[in-house]
Amino acid sequence: MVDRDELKNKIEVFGRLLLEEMRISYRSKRFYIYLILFLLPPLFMSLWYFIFQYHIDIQTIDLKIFMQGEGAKEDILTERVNIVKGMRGISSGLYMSGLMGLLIAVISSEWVAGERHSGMHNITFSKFMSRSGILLARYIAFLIHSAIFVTIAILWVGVLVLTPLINVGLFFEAFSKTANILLIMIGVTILCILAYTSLATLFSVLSPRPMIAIIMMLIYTMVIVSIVSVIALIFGQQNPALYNLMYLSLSNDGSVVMEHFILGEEFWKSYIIPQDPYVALSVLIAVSVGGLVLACLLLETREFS
Amino acid sequence: MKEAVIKVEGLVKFYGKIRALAGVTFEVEHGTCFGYLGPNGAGKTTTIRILLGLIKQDAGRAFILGEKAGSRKALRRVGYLPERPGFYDHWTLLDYMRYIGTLYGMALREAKRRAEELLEWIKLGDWAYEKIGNLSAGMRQRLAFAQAFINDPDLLILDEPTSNLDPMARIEILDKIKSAVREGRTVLFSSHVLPEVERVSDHIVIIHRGLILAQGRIEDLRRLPNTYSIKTDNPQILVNELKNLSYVKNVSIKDRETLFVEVEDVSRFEGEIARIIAKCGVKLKRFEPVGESLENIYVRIVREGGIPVGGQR
Repeated sequence: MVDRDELKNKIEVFGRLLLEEMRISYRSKRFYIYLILFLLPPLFMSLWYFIFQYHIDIQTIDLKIFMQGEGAKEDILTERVNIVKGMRGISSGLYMSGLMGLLIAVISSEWVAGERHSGMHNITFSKFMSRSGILLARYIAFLIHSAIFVTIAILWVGVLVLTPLINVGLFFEAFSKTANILLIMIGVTILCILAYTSLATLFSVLSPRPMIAIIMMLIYTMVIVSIVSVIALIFGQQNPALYNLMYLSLSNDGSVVMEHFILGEEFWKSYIIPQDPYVALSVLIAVSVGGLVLACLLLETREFS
Repeated sequence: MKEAVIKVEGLVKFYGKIRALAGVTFEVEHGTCFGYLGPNGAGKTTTIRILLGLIKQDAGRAFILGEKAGSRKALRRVGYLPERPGFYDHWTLLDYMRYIGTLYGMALREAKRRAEELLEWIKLGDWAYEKIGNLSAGMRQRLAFAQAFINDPDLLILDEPTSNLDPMARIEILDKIKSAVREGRTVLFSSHVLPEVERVSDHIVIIHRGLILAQGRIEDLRRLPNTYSIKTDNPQILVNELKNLSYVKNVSIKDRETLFVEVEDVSRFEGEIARIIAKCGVKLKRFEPVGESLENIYVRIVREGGIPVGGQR
């Protein structure tokens, strides 16, 4: 039976470390590169949109209302909602890609492998806080930052697409109709980042040097994922169970899940591989939790000389 | 007998087929500075890593502050300076100290206050907001030394604490270690810089190839070679007399008044020396065992292979 005061104290101690991990991440250049990767695309899109596209959209909407009267508003709304749905490409192409997996590996490789290489682990792992507690604090701190960045980036682009509706008083109606789509995008992207981080953390625990952890992630994203995808494509026709290998490709599954939830039941069937989005979602969660749990177990039981 | 802060019993550790520790046994009493001596690769750092739970022993037991070595409860009261302390170059000194404070569960404000206090104490207060990457090797070592005190520890484990330091900084650090002992802390001082150990430690353990060769008070270990210094008004007469004794191994004159006698049978020599001096008719000015330097003790014990304590060769 866990003592209540002891538990409260443990949560408090962990909370302090989490806050400190979050604060200390602002000292790292890699953190800002990560931030830029999230925020620069929406920023460029905004610039591009307001310079080249915004006026055209306004004129088109005005013209439609002028030609068709109030009845055009429904069409305009549907059109904008479809544009927001089309934004899923940004999430799956940029934030859920292997490139993001590599950047996450670069950051998380420092958490254990980097410390082992520099000797910092002699200090951090010989303290009152458990090794898995330290790793968990780093993981959660990174995830909180990522979740904030993802939310800002996706909401930003979502709002950007809807801005021409402000003049015709349809912005809030359109926003309420697209809010669930944006939430799904945010949720699946965060889940995918969580899975990448979990794998990258595991590689960091397994590697004596940060570069090896990054190479392991590179091998995973480039080689293993490609090989299993090819095997699934070639042999999956005869043996449907082999299709499941495709789920090891995190970015692919993430985008399939997103496609399914955003575009409805029919769309995913048009994919070459008939993946089940719910299984894909389960795989994402399993990788996220499993990778991290394994990393924590290894950290607690392995020797660090 | 004071309470044992560190208790190690028959520690054995293998790295693959290489035996790093072969039944190491020793105890460190409360409020002492304990010198842990040995050449590179002797097993000093391996022992320390076992005590801190960084690695696990293959056999034997180890306790710190009455708790199992490596347990979180014990580590809360331990300050550790590793042989190769790591740093994040892009952190400031204050970040580093604060962060280590939170690893001990300290409140953020308390960790910051203590960090600032220690940086002043180690004369790095002006550098608190500088990046660690801008520090010299000696300053880094001082920072690493300071972090070991962040939790106000009862036990300090210092692995080569003076490496990379200039002579003045060495003296400063050694004085701080001495004052830590005066404050009631226990220190395990691992080093192969013998004059430094001699300066701060009262007890030592000599480890070689994973075996404890000797342990005890430095004063006690000094007597091992059975050499005595005798100051008299006529040493030559005494030399002639001593040379005839079967249990006297070597006699040499140091200066006009002093001679050194190395004996094989201490008790016999100490029992008969008064009679011999009286027989020679010389005036005795001083008689004492020779204060062998720690360096000599160490070299002799390691060369001879020593008498393994609590282990097998």
